[in-house]
Amino acid sequence: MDFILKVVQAIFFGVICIILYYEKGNTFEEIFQNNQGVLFFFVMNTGFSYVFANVNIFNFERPVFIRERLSNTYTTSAYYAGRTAAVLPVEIFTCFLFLVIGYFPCNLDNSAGVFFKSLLALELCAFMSSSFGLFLSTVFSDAGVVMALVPVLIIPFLLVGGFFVPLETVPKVYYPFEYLSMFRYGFEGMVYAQYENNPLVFNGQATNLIGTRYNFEVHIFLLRLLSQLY
Amino acid sequence: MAAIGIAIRIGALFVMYMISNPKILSLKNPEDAETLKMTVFDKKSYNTNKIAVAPAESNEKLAAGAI
Repeated sequence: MDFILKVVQAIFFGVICIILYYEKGNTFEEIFQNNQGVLFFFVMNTGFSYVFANVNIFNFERPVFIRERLSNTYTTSAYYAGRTAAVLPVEIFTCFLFLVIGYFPCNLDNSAGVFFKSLLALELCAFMSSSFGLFLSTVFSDAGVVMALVPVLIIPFLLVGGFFVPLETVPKVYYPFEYLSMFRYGFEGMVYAQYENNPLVFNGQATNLIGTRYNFEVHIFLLRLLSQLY
Repeated sequence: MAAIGIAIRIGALFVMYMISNPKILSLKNPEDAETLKMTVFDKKSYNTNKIAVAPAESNEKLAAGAI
């Protein structure tokens, strides 16, 4: 049932994405804003979904886990490994489904290489978000407290994702959030995959966005490696 | 990104170890300790307090015809 709900959620947000970003836009700025918006929407939706999903799951399991652990039914590492093995394939699949539905109709680069690089960035964002959710759910025992705290803890990461404010202008106080932001790394990866070798073409004029509009180095090692190989 | 994710997961695993440790749990989280009283104190106190007392009471009641 949980799996079906996640699939429905992925389809729902994929369809919303198509409805919002199907139109390409008439000017360079419109196209640029649409593309930037859809890439950040992918990352933002993935980040929030997986944080909330993991916060809820472990809080419901907590009393059972503690009881069974103390009666030596299993070890903590066995529970952790089993839980990860059960949840991770579902997360990978739903993330893939969401991107497959939302990616192609939204006027992004349709080549296989760019798609799979974007998928890699999004899957890593999902992994980091689910890790963060799991950590929060283990630290706070009350589900109500966690649900109230998650937005407070997530929004600072979202703000330094690279969409709302240029990363060069972020004050030093905010650096810890910047370097731990799953949204930032995900968005960087998506943008890098999209525009690394593909300048945005409008009216026959190609504009290279990396280095002009986006002044950052991508931090995903695998993505850089793939870009060098392909 | 994967490295940060793995580091956070290791942190989560560490917290799981902490919350499933009976000593830390009973000191810091009374609600959970109450839930776990049966399992936590089974081995030490169940035989002496519950089994030893309860049958004696029930034997007396049985003898008095109360049960």
